[in-house]
Amino acid sequence: MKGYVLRRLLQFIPVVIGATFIIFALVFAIPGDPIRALAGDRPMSDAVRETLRNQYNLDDPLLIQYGKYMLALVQGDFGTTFTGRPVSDIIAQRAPVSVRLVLTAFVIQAVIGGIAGILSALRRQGFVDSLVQVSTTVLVAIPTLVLAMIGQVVFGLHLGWFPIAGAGEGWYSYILPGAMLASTSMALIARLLRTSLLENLRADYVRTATAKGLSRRRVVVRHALRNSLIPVVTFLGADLGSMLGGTVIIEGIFNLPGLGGEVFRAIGAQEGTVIVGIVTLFVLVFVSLSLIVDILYAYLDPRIRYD
Amino acid sequence: MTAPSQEPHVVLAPGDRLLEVRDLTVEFRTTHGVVNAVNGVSFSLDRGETLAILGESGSGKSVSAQALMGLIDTPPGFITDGQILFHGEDLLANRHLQRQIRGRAITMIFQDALSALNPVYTVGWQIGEQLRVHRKMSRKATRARVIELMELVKIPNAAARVDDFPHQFSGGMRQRAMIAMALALDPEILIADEPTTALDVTVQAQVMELLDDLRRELGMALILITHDLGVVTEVAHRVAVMYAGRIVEQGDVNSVFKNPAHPYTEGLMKSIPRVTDKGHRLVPITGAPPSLSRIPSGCPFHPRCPYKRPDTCVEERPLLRSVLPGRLTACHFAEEVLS
Repeated sequence: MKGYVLRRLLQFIPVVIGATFIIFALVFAIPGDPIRALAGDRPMSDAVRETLRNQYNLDDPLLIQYGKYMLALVQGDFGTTFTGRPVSDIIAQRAPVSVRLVLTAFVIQAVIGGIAGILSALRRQGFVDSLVQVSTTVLVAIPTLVLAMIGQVVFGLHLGWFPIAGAGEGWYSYILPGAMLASTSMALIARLLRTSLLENLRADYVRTATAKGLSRRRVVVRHALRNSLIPVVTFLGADLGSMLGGTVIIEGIFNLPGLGGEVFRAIGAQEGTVIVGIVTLFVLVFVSLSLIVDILYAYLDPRIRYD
Repeated sequence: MTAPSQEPHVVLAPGDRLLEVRDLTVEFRTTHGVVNAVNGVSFSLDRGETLAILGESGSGKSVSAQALMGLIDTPPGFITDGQILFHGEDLLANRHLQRQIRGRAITMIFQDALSALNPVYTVGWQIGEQLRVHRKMSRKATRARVIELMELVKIPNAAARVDDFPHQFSGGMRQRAMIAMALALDPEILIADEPTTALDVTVQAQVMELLDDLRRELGMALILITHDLGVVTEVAHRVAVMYAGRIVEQGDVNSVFKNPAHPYTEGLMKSIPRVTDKGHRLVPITGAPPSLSRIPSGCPFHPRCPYKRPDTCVEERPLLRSVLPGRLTACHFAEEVLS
């Protein structure tokens, strides 16, 4: 296991280099002059423009620019924006908002999706099961973007239960955007857990557990459910990426000052350092979380051995 | 392998019987109709005795055992009739008592030990689970008792293997672990549902011998569900032959096999190879066992029976009757089969 973790950590290096280079190249390929965009309608002297272009290495070829950026990055320097603000500053300020959003979404999808899946499996073809089946189909079918806007109008505007935008009310402001971000995964978890639990409840070892005279509750929770979590955890690992991507949309719609929203803004402003800095962070978070999920997976299923 | 010791059968008052099953009837209501899996099965079991329930797949032998354990899922399965008397108390009338007895006084092991063991817990954890849950034993005491149980079923190096997972065990060792689990709470009856079918022949013999030894050492009774005639002759005292959800013949193993009184039992005997009869052709039973959702009228065996008489066998259902001392057979022409 130790060797496996070490090898996975080494894999971080090519993944980070590859991801940053692709993002860097894409930003490089954006047409237009970011310095001119910065100036807007105001006139800017050629001398000033030259200085700025030099300062941000904008006249170097792609590979040189990338090399200079990476050299600074490994020294912990994420670069600065065109207004002179360090990118690390922006990340430090915005990251907590995104972390709160993702955590809220994660808790919602795990708890509600999990409970819905368990209840529908235990009361198969009952009312709860039908309700879960129908509602999950609807949730999966509607794109997150549309759902988030509907949610905003219905629960924020008409019912007034939750704030429409901003993070002004602490954790409470994250419930609606978190739920919207969680919606698709929540539905998929419910369905996955239902199928998996139904299958495990019919398994031979569940019959053995019953034959051992254990209570129904213990048979379901300790034996069937424990095994049903394996595919769910696999799903969660794969789903993390779409969750990080989802924050860009959700933070935009609910006007949350998080990393996703900042990426969105930086793309418009062609601020390469900001885009690359934040996306690199996303990549690092994603690979770290996948590693944790893989380790958790081996813990959940002892038949899996990494060596 | 040791021959089963012949213990005398004492006639007991009904309440003294360890287990008495009367008229057990189980059906499964499926979308394709009703499957009559068990149709009025009666048998009894005394202390220290081994009863083999012999039959092909689909004869209702496993379902009968599952009904004993209360493992029939309702729906689709329904126990529509009968009594299961354990020390004279009807388990079917007293579900609370059945739950008390299941896994404690009556335990069960299954055919495929790999799928019958939970893949995510260690073997030791699974053997000790009942001790912790039912006996509230401490972790340390449980571990010591688990190792003892593993030694009892002759798992070598038990102290080291207690923390292994089922997939790290061989087939025979897994079945031994299952047996250890079943013995954890000192049962009075152990039901073994095809315990050796999934194992290699040499391992089969070892596991059967172990079961027989344990039965004698611990003084428990054994119900052995099998389709393997060899297994039956080696360890069972009495045998009940099942066909289409009914017991068609019941009696002392040696007597039944030497001198079958039911055409089906006779057919089974003729269909197995014997070393002494080398060179003779095997005689298979013609036809196939009936579907349990469309059991033939009259005697369910009549379409395959060489002794069939058109009217009697097609129209009248033969009842189990005493044809020899200690022998029950459900055939209109048992005397003819015997001679």
